[in-house]
Amino acid sequence: MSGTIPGYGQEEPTESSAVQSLTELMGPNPAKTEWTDAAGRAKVARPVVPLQSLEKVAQELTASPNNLARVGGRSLKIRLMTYRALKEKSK
Amino acid sequence: MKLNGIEIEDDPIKNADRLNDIAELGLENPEVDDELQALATEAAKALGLPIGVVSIVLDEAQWFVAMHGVEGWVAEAGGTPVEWSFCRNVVRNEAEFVVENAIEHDIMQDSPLVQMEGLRCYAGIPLVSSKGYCIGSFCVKGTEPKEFTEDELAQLRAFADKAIERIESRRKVSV
Repeated sequence: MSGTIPGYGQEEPTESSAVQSLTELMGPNPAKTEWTDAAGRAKVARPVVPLQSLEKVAQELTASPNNLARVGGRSLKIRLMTYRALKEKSK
Repeated sequence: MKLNGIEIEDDPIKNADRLNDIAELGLENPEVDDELQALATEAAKALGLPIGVVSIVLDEAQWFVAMHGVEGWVAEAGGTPVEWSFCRNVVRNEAEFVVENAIEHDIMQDSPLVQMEGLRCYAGIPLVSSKGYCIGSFCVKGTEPKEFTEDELAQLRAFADKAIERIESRRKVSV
């Protein structure tokens, strides 16, 4: 299931949008490194597609020693959980 | 690039130093902080509103580290996308933000929290850290329009003072 939530306008988060957000937060190279490391710790396949897998990566980011990665991970986690909950609600 | 008329690089919400400061506060601890929780509850009750929140404004989400009266998907997610939030206006302007009737408010009327979730009134006080960054908002909300009196805002400021004091005490413990 993908797309935008009716009435809320929230687009489905993707690996690409998540990495872009991290890049805006900390720059391209640190973002790429943090994402790759978090995906490895989460033991998810790349590219990361299912929302559940993205949530696992976001959770790993919230435990990163890097301050900005933790902030970005928390943001991503809230946005993913919002999307998933609203998607369920709209069914 | 501009977002809501503000250059992103000038947007306090995206300020890396502010976000670093938030990260250093140790708020990731999954335990609900009883003291912050109690403040959120007391504030809502004192102002006769259903919702009280300690909201930390991150780069792309608002994160509720303590909440009273928040239910459904917002409680499940522990916050919302930042572009929907009332609290981003507190951080962006580093100032109190009061909305008496959101459906008639230029900035907030299109937010899904207004259109879909029915929020109508809001009062938020800046939470300013010891390093001088506005990290979020101590706020109350309701589903009916409301005029906030100066006495009510003074009460809210007192709750916000206690909240930031508690948050800073957690920083000291976590360092």
